[in-house]
Amino acid sequence: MFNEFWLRLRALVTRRKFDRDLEDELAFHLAMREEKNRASGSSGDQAHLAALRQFGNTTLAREECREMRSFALLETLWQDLRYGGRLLRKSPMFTLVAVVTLALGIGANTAIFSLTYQVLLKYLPVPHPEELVVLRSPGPKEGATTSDGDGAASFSYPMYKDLRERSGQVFTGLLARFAVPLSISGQGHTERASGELVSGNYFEVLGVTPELGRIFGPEDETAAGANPVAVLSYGYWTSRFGNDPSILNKQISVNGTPLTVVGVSQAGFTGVQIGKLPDIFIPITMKAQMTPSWDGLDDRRRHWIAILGRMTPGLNRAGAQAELQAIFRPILEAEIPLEKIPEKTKTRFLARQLLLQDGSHGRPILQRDARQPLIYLTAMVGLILLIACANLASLLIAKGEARQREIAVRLSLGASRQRVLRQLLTEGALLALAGGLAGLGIAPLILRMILKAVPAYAGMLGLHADLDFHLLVFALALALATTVVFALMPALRLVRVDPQTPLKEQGNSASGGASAVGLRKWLMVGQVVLTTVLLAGAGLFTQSLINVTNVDLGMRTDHVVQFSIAPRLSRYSEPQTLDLIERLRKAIAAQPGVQSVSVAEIPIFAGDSASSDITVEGYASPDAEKLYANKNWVGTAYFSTMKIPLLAGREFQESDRADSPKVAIVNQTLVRLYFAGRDPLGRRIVFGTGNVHPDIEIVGVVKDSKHEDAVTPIAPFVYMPLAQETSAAGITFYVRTAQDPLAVASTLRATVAGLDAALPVYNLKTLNEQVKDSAFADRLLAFLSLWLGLLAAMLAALGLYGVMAYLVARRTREIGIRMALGATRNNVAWLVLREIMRMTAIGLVAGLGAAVLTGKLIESQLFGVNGASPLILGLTAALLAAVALVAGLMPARRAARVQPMAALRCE
Amino acid sequence: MGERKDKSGDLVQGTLDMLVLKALVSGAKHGYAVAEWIHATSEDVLRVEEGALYPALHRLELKGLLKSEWGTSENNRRAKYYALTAAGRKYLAAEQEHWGRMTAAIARVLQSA
Repeated sequence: MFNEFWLRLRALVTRRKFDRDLEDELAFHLAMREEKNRASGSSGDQAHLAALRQFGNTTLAREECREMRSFALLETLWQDLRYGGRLLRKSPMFTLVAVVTLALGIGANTAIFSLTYQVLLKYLPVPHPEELVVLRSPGPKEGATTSDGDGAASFSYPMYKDLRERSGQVFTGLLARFAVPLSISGQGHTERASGELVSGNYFEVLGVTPELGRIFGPEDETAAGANPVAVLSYGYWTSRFGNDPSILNKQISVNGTPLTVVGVSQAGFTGVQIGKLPDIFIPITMKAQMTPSWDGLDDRRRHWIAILGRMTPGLNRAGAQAELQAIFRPILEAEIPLEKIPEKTKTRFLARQLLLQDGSHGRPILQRDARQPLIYLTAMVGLILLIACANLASLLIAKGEARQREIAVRLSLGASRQRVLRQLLTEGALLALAGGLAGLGIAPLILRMILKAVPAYAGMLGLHADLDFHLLVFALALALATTVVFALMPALRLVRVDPQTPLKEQGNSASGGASAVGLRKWLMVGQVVLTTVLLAGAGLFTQSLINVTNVDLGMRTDHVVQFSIAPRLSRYSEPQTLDLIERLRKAIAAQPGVQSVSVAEIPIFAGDSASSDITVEGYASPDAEKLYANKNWVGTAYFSTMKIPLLAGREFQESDRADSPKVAIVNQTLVRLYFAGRDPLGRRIVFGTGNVHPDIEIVGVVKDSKHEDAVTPIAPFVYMPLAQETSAAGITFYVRTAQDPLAVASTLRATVAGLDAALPVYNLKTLNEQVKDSAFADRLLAFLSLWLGLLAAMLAALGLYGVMAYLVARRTREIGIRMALGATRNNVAWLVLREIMRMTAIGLVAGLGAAVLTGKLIESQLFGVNGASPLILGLTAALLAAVALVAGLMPARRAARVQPMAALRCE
Repeated sequence: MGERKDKSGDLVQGTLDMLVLKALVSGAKHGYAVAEWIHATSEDVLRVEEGALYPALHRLELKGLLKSEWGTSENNRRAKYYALTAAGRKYLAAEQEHWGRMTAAIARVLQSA
């Protein structure tokens, strides 16, 4: 091996000498042979020629020897690159079209890949992420569940501790965490931050080290309220404290509770859920201080904690899961006496299993929601790249026609086919690399645009639009792959040609021309098929978005501005919170331009909802299933502010206070489902089931309206007065204005600051914006697919035009003859148009078939659209036909302008 | 040109290397002598395509089976002489053994009823 390398290296350094030696060696051979020939009686010239003939292809032999010293590969590569570069410079228009097409294709693919990589493929940046698992236990649960994306993954703290103590065989560690919004004050201002309540072993189980100070240990999880310490995330340390190490051992005020900063976590670590960026980590024992509106730390009926485990090395998930059941069952049995579980559900309760979910990517919440859209986007950009490749292949075939003679000459002069093929592929790769590099330039722009369209609450934080090593590799690999797709076939066609044929032909019509035309036509048909699929998909997503936008929300969202505050996180007690809300409401209502103000505890169109079992006086469900209703707590004048029509009864009034009788307002759906025609006014309901006493009187019925977003079906709904039950972790104000809501929006912060300067205001935006944000996924899909569809149509137009223009040029003589024989200009133009229409029609038929199939595949992502919508398919066909017609017009006109005499003479 | 002549005297793929090595067992030779030796020894049956001979020599040299040296030929010209290396001898022995087994096997198959 070393010998070979040495000889090659020597050959490289002493290439001149090597070439001369090789020349000598061959010359010696030929001279010897010539001498022998002469000895056997040939004359001088004949002997010389015979020697050459006997030797065969000297150039080929020379090349082979040279290439063997195979840095020659590099040398010829360099030659090829220079030659290719020269060729590309010589046809700048072709090069421009090719590079731009590829850049768009590769750029879009790289951007979507970056998104896919960051959301779906990236592992948690911790050692051995493959050992991590997420615990889930689906099935009946008593008590209250607070979930962050997956209700089956919520556990009580006591259950977590039981599991941690008993599962040492299965896990090297079991961690608990719960995400909370917080108010952090310091240096004169208070701001909202996202916190993570964690078990003492959290960092240790994950394998995260401190960047500064220390991480938590078991000593930080001793007793409720006894661990006032905090670890800052690296990002928060940077953004809030400018990487100042003196923050260590200082106190910061979190929700008004002083916590000592004991450390900063490792750079790059952003918690256990992709898309979330915790600012601060706090021991879970500080729960009561961090969520002042509810505690539940030691309550087995409060399910809120997410548990992740690190499996003992060598165990697989199935094995670990099997072992866990024996540990889980006794814990469940011990819990039974605490619950008021009806016999019927008892077996189901005990049959609950503890499941292990892959945790190598962290808690798979964002991944679950984003997988489908990302797959669609990947497919769409993939199609675009394929279309671009088809276009380029077609262009290269046309260019190849013109180069047949050049290639034939090279082959005849002794170039091996392989060598010529390599040259042609190098040219292709050069184009692809230029396109790939340009695409790398475009990718961050596309990505930035996409990320900008994602609202903050969508749980897609921490995604970046920067280029990194992965993207570089991806884009270059894609460029090389496209080379194979678009350049290999035209190149193979070229070198396969017998070099003699093009050389013998004098005319400009090369042999194989007919099949080249056929091939290009098929490429175009393929392009039309793919474009049809893309356009139809774009149409479906767009129609879906239009449907989402036009949903009757059941309220008027225009001229409303919203903002949220969280007084409970700033040491306000419940009564103080109510008092603050009331004062704030009055202060805002007094402002010019404000028509009315109200508040709600759960913000609307933010994807949030609260649901409970409900007992309705005098109604039992026919199938003995539990009744349920969604709920929200709202202020006075809520319905008139939101313009949700009141159908019967009354709105909440200031007289509905904590000490007055409990009242509720329900929506139409609840009346329809649980009152079936009876008058609901004056009847009583209560949340919870079993041994409960309905004590909430229904005082009003409102028209159905949407809550979480525009598409979620309307649930039976109960509104209660904020004053009568304020868990009120956050309060959102809705302000209806007479004029432009933004004018009022600018004064709202000052109004809040006027009452409490240290109270952070967040989510300040118009309600319309909020509604728009709630449909961001639909918006993004529609927007991107529409752009990609139009790009595809443009590429198809370019391709169709190219083929037809080329066809007309090739058939100039034929057209001349036809005209000479009496064909009119219209006949000739029609000839061209008919051809392009025929190709488009074939492509459309196949494309529409494929579009129906893909439409069915994406139907689950669509709202109110049939995957095979005849309207969309019809529009797609019409648009493509129009595009084809436009693309055909110019070549048709050129054909019609052919001067018969000139055409005939030019041969 | 890339055209090939009648295939009948052509060598089976891969056997050229073996023949070249064999030609050098008796001592260092230049390329022309190798071609002539094969030609003569096979009593005109095997015809080395000379254009393929030199790539083969260079390839074998790169593999370390041959070494080369510039010398002076019988008629006083500068010529490149190739000689077997130890590795070349070992390789040839192995190839020869393999070839023997193959041809014997093929012969048995062809002779069978």
